[in-house]
Amino acid sequence: MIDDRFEELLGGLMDGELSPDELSELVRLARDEPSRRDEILRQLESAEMIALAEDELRDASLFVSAIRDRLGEDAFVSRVQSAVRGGRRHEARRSILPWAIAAAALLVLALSVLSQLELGPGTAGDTSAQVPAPIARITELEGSVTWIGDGGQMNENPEAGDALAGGTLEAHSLNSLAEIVFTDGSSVWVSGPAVLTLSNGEAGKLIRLREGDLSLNVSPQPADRPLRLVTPSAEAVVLGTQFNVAADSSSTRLTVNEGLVRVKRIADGSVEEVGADQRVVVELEQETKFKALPRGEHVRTWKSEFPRDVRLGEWEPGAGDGPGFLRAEAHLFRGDHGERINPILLHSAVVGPANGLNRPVLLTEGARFRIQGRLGRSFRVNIGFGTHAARGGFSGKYTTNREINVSPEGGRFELELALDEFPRVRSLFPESPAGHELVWFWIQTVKEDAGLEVFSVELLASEPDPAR
Amino acid sequence: MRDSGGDKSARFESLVLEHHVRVRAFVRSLGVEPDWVDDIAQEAFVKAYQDWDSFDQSRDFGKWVRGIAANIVRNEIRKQARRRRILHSDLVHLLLDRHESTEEAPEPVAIEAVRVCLGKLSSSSRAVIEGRYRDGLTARELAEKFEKTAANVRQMLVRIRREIRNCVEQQLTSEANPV
Repeated sequence: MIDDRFEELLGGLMDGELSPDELSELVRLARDEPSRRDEILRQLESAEMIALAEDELRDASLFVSAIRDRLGEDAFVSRVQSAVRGGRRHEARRSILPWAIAAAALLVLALSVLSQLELGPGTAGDTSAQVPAPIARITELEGSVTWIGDGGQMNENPEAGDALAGGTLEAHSLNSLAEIVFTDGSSVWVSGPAVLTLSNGEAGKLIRLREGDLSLNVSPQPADRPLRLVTPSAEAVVLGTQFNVAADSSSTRLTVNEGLVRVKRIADGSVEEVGADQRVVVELEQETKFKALPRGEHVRTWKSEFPRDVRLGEWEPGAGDGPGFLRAEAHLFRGDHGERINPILLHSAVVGPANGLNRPVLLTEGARFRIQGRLGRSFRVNIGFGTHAARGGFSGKYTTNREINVSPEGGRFELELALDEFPRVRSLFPESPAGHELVWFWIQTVKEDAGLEVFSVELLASEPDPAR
Repeated sequence: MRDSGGDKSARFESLVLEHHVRVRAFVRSLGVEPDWVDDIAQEAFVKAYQDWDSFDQSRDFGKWVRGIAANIVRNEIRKQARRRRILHSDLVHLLLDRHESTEEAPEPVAIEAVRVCLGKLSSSSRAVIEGRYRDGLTARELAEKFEKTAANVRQMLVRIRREIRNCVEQQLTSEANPV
């Protein structure tokens, strides 16, 4: 029987506002009467159908695209697994990639020999000239990414598993990311927005990073053929190490977790060696100190400081004693991988605690974000953040959406969100970001400019920060 | 006969398009937190694709995927201490039991059918639904906006959801049995 009390509790459940006692009462009532249980089920089902009909960001094409991405990842891994007898998926994933790529190379070689046999002498040289040898492979992909081969061929729908023979990768949005694995097992995580060019010639591997965030895990390289990473302001020479780098048109921030990286400031040619657990900032101008500094202990709380922590957005200093703010900047989102939808205009503000702090910011269980800002009108915002493993490489992205209500003429808002309110962007990332380092945090509006301005972003820990 | 890779992908994609609404609604109906519904539904489709060769294609695909999704949610109950993707473990147990005891295999739902039903709502009901599902307002906020009590708004939402569900099911019945 559906009585008033049951309906009241049901309404509370659907609104997410039941206390634990009320939830227990609802469960008790439903257990006593199957029709009530069916009504809960139907209400939840109907709520989801309505939500799907009303929220265009959850449309079928984006859902299919996300599945295709997951399948790309899984299909590649299973191909790799089948090539390695007895390999255990989670433990073996990285270590078996070079084997898989070597196997793929052997297959290419075998096919090439077969084609020579079939085509006869004299044609094989032409074939190899037309098809450059792969130097790397895409192993993970999410969001809008474009690959432009060295010959100028543009692929707007690259897929996990695609072999790459030198060219430029563009990761267009904050949700975009890709992992590229070279034939020797060296890997690069690319976090969008980013633009980088890859090649592997006689002098060794070369990565030109115009802008964006990379996390590199470089296998030992021959001493005379090191991996070189070039940004607009710095050049790094790497013989085997794990490090993270973020670059834009005027500065490069590099953090080394393992090994040693030799960094040259392009502006004056000065060189600095950056060892494990050290970081260095390289600016185009020469006034800034160019020195490797040890990274301090983790901090568990953090508050943005502008303009130091601005990653994307227009910084407006406050007038007089008024606070400054970061205005969301417009950029285009051109659809998820596999789905070219009409370009969507996004307005995003991105902040990065790694910009100015020498101490990494650790996300802990029970931590939450507090965002203070202003909107020109009530609007739904997308909020997310990216992480690195503690003293390690890229580990995940997490995102959620929230409706923010202000008065019709606009007004300030304050939003608090717990870590566990952010689902991971991909299933391969840890479910919980706790224990990982916060690298950047974004807030954006989709399609329309709702006048988003951010005053501050704060990470609050559930327990006092011992490092403060 | 096994599908070739391309046929399999194309066939599977059309099945996802046909069944995604019902599967996502089903995942939510097992008491999964709204933010995690798509994560779990996608996981179920990925698992279905991986196990495609073991699937008897004379069977109901939607029912099979919902079974996979139910298993994922069942595992969530065990993981709850680590991370909460479900509303309440006792509630989820109850809803899973209901799923196991039913033999019904509902027809796939097209999102257009839901939109048709939403279009039939009165303007006041439509405004409440838009406030809740398009703008994400809570009952308390809607109550303020429409000068009602939060309890009234919740009750209204319960009834509108019931109306929408009945309307969708009626549409499916009339499609299956055209006059």
